[in-house]
Amino acid sequence: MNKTVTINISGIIFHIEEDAYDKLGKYLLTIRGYFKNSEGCDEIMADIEARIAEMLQERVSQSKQVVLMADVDHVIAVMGEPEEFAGDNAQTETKTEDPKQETSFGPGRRRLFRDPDEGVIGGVCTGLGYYFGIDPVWIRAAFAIAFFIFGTGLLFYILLLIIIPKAQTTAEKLEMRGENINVNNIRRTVEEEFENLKRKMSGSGERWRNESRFGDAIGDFFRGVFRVFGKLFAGIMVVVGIAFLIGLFTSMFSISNVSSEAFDYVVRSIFPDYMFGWAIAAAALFFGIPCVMMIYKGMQILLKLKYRNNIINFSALGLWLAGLVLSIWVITSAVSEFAEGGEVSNTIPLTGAKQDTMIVKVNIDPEMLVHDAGRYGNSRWQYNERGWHLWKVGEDSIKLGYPGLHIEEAEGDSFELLVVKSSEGPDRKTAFENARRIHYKVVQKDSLIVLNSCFELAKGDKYRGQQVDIYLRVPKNKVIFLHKSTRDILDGVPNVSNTWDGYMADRRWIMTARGLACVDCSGLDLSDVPEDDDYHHDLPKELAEPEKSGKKDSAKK
Amino acid sequence: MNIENNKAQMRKGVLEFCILSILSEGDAYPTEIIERMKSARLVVVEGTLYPLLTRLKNMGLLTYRWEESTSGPPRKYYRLTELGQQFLKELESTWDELVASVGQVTKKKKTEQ
Repeated sequence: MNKTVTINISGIIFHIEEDAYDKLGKYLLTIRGYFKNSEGCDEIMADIEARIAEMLQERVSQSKQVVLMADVDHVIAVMGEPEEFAGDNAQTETKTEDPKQETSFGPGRRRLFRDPDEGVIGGVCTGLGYYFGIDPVWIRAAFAIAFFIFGTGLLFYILLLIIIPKAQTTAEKLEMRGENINVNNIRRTVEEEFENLKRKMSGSGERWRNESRFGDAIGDFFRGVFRVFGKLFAGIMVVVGIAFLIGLFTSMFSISNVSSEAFDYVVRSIFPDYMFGWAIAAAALFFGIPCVMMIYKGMQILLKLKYRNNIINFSALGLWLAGLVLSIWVITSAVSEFAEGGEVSNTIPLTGAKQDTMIVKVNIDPEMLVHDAGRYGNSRWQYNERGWHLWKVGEDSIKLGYPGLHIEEAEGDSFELLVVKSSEGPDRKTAFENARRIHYKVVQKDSLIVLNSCFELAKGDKYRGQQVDIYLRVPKNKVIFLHKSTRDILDGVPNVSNTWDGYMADRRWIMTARGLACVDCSGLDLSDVPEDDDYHHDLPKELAEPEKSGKKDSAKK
Repeated sequence: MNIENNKAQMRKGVLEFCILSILSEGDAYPTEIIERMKSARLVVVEGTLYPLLTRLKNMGLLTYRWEESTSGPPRKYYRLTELGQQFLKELESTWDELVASVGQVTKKKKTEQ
């Protein structure tokens, strides 16, 4: 009893014994190997297969339905061993003749297939193992490890499962197992690619025949260069695609997870509650699909998988367009959350406001003093129109940083303090409500005003561009002392000497008819800038640098 | 040096000429051509023929058409093109000259011997 397989040669169906089939498959592969450099290789193979079909058909009948080993032997005897005809042919036909080629010839080049027999899940690892000549155990181990890196292993595996075809016929399995990768085989693969490309580009073999060898060589050279660049490009595509995908996954993971990162809070709170899931989906589709396709296409080029899968292409395009539409919707509705502005202002009564000098100080949140890398713990520096501001998402409140301090001339003869809270929202009413919910504390005792370095939102409040502006109104001929801690909240305070906000702190200013004038600023130069390291992050580079070098110089002295 | 190889090389040179001659008598499909050549003991293995036919076709000397077969896959019927006929004529005259001169040379040798 023998197992048979059903095969199709030139459109005719045969039942063939398995061992006979293997032999026939190897025979055809060998012939193809010999003709691979000839023009019209596919055509020759088709003709030969047609003839084989004809011969085999003569040898099967109602009573003998199965093709046996003897029949295959007969066919091979009639057709001749490839060495007898094809080898000579290759010598006369091949333009770039290479005697070594013949000796290095094996059963056929290796191709990437999934192994349905030996595989554990889909045979991807086994197939890769054959392809790279490694024990599949190592590849499985690599996938298993990669699985724990945000599931990239799983993603990659599914991707490979889709793009790598399964080895279905014995011929494909033979191709899959191939030979060991050695220098000769690599060279041969490259040559094969040249030939394939040449055939494709020339359309018919005829034109190539007439062209000079020199032209061929130049053409081959450039095609080779393009091919190498193509592979390189494909490799970069895959790597970049994977990197982006991992980045996308981790950032989406951290944003959607309830983390206390200030940035994540802002991203999360920009959208109305019900939209957050859609926003994530939109981002995943809009950025993820191109990444996946980059990996997919890159792998196709790298692994020379020739079949096209239009279903994948079109569904990717469809998903991406869906992502685009979703993104537009999500973004417009997020923007509409900031459509209207609203503000609440209240005057803080100043007791003893008749005093001559008022001292302004800022109670700086301890975490605001940490300025390195713009990020500390669960806080983050964010940029808005007033410069770098601190965000801190705390246990029960959200701290937003730096209110703006404005100094104006008072109409009467007493100090006045006005706090304006503003916010945005989808409509005026909500914007107003958002502004009302801002919590900001000002403490005044005698001649001392203590401002807070940040204003607070209740937990669960969303970021809607909340701001706090403090207007300190100074009567004429009265003096204010701006403590150095006010440096970061001074907001473009006009003054007579046109001094930059940063230098206004730690000085006394008197309100004159022309505006604020400095009382103790005589001889102000760079060295007078308060040397408080905590503030250096805000100094413009060109100011911060010379100061530092100056410091060093003085240290040397 | 392999004598069999030399013989094969010699035969090979005239194979194309023979194929064109056979086709000049009428269209034929590969198996017919093979039968003819086999009976003339020109071809030992059939595989030789297919690359030759493809090459002649690519050179524009032959064209083919498909014809359904009752007993197997459709057959490729080859036919000489006009270029092929010209080519054949030239080959024929060359062949005649060659036979004459080779005959002359080898005859001389034989008589000398």
